[in-house]
Amino acid sequence: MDIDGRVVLATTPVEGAPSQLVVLADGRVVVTLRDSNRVAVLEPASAPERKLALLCEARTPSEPIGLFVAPNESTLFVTSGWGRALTAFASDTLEPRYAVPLPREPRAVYVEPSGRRAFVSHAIGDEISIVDLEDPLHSRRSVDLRRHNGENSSRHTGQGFVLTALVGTNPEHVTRLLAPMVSVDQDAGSVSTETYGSRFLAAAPLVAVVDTTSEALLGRNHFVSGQFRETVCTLPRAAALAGERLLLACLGIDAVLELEARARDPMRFERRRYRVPAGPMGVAAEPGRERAVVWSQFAAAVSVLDLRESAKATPAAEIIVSKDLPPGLGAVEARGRILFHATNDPRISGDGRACASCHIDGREDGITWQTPEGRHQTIMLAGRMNEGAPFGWRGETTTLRHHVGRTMKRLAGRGVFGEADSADLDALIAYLKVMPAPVRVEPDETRRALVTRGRELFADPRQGCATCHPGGGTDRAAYDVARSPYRIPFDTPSLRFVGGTAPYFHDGRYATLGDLLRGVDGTMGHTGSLSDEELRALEAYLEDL
Amino acid sequence: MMKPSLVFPALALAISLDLAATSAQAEEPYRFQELRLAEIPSVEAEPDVVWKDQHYDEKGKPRPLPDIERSRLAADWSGLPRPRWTNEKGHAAVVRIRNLYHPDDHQANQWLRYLQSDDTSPIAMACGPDTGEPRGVDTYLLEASRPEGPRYTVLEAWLDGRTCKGLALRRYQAAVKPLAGGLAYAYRTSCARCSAAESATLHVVIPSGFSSSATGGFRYWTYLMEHLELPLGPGTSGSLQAFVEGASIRAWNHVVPKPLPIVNVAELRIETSFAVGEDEPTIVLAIRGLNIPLS
Ligand code: HEC
Ligand code: HEC
Repeated sequence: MDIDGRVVLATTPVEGAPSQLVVLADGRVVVTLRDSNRVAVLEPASAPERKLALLCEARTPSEPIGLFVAPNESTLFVTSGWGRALTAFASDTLEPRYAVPLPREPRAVYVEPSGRRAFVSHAIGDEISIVDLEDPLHSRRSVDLRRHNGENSSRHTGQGFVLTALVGTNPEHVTRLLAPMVSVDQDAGSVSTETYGSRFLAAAPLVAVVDTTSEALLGRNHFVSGQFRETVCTLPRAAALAGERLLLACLGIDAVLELEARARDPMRFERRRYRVPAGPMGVAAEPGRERAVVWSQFAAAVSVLDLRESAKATPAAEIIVSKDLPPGLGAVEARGRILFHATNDPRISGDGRACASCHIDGREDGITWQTPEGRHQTIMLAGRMNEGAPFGWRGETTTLRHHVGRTMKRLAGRGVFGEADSADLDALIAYLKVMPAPVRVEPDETRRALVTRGRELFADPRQGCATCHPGGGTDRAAYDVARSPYRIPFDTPSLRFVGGTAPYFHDGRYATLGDLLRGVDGTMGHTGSLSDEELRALEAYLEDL
Repeated sequence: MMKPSLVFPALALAISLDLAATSAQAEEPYRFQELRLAEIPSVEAEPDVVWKDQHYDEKGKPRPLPDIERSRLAADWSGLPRPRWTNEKGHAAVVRIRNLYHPDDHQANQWLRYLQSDDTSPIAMACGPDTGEPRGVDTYLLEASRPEGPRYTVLEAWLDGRTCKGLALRRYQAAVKPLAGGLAYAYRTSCARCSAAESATLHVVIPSGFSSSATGGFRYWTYLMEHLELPLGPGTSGSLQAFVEGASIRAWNHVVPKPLPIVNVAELRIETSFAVGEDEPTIVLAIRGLNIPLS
């Protein structure tokens, strides 16, 4: 695209949905392809009007997202969201070097100039991972993000999609990492509630500032206070530094915030905000020029921001890249996608929360919320919405309309009544059904054998799993397998994608599938007589469902 | 429009109420002042007075001061201007009498309005025949309009109530730098004997806000001015947020050399942060609601 001429010069088709993209010093382009589990290097053609040529590509663990090229450009780092890994590749040949297992839903990765440590943000789960790249075992440490206002409360910190590095007062060193996040309160302590979690600062955005030397939050605390405002950024998705200003692209409010990067919490120090086309998911600042470029996914548009002090807060230019909708998304579903990410729709919630606040990327947040029916985990939606009723842990809602209506009520939303609203509800539900499911890498031979063995064990009447979960799905009946105090029966959940939705059971009592298989013997099927190897096989089968 | 607000010091001390941030004001962008650490004067001082057990008997009652201390002047005020703000261009002073039994408990302190001393002692109000027991008396003096440059004097003492003489526990004088066009005066203290986190502190003296908070705490809040603190040690971060009403600015204008415009509500924010690997702390300052040059 010619930014100054405001025209699209050439389009290069790629074999999958591009997630993140980096341009190397020599003009080569590296891109992660989220739904085809590959990273690709493309080479620019002799003229900008010509397509890029594919130079090489490599397989990655499931769902490559974050991408970082080490400063000397010898190594390329890729995070895999569903595959829970950080993989290092030689950047010239894409030869894989090593892969490091990570906790759930890694997103952004940053490697410090010395190449010693990699920092990885997570969309869920209260921590930033630090991988020791010099250690031959690539051990992992983490920055604990739980402390709020001086205490370990029932607040959680998630939505970690971005990391940017700030050079502090010592110009030689990156001393701070800025990680835009959102703090929520699951309200663990309360006995009853009308909503999900606590309504006090239900979704409080912040920028976690990590002291890279002490590997802790700067000041060791998040600081949340104040009250809800419609204009806050609760779905941060991309960021870039322009000098000492942090540009933060936010879904929901469709804005790029210009924040004071050196503040204790830049989120509370807004300098200015730009309104941009729907769905901002990428932002890049142009070095040496007071200019930034923003990619808006939903509008398929690029906008150019003038960062000069005196400039207006509207984009200097907007260029529509494509009028076509992405594959699998009709006009109705596209409308639904916007509604799913709408952060201030009074019909949906009274406290600004969007569906995407908890159903992150259409999945779940790993949080067990206090709900009117007790402590219930968020349920993964993407790829699981075509299995039919009932919905919810108790299976109390019989249609998606019914369930989503109840959700809006729980979120103190006004709900949908009129005809226009009703069309919007249809659109939202249509989108739920087409939300992209994770695409997993093909298992290798050994893994396949293990999964086959697991399937046999699952189907074996001695274990009895398939009586309630036929084929890994659900019998649509309810049982008190959790031995809840009031003998409440819970709906048998479909186990589709269960490998990526830890923790387990409605109240999140089991941290891993392994814990669950060892813990349920006699109450949910029979696992006590299985050997460790058989348990591993059963676990592998569940992971691949 | 801002609604006229009540003053509730105790509450305002404890929490930031965010009352002043009406939506209209929230839309107004912050204006930033570039600050370098070196521009803010620094003095060596311990962060706080340590109250020793020796001042109390077994029952927890304050002991009388030994004779030598009872007759010693806690501070020599003879070279200092009389702290009086009621003059056309006076100086702001605060006297704080500590709670007898909980001298470290700032919330329990009694707050005097402000000092109107006689010419012999700036702390005359705290002394007299009825106040026989020794007690902690702290005085703070801001000379914002001093021709040689603004200055701040701190004296925290343990005094014989009758004679107004006694033991100076902590005393220092610091040049101060006007910030935010004179809405705030600031200096730093450093403490060599303290832990890294407490080794340096930013002190900010401002007209009293109707809602204010600072991570490092309050030294005092009076109807005229307040003194807030922010950590500057490595590994710390802090923030200050204060909303100051027109009436407070009007009073402040008696103290500062150049009057500030009287506005409905001015918001002052200061943030400090110091990552361990950095050379020095970063200070970010911003205001809104007050249209004055920031330099
Ligand atoms: C505060 C977090 C939160 C928000 C916001 C939220 N959900 Fe949920 N969602 C949950 C939880 C928790 C459950 C499980 C509820 C239960 O069973 O009690 C759930 C369950 C569901 C289910 C049932 C899935 C199944 O397989 O049974 C659907 C569908 C759903 N949510 C859709 C939505 C939509 C659409 C929105 C936006 C209008 C939304 N959610 C907003 C937390 C949330
Ligand atoms: C009697 C019916 C029944 C049988 C038999 C049964 N399940 Fe379940 N399963 C359930 C119910 C009901 C739940 C939900 C429990 C809850 O959350 O309280 C569940 C939950 C699960 C979950 C957690 C899902 C999640 O998202 O948290 C897994 C995994 C699972 N079952 C695997 C198995 C395996 C493996 C077996 C065989 C050893 C088995 N189940 C046998 C009814 C059954």
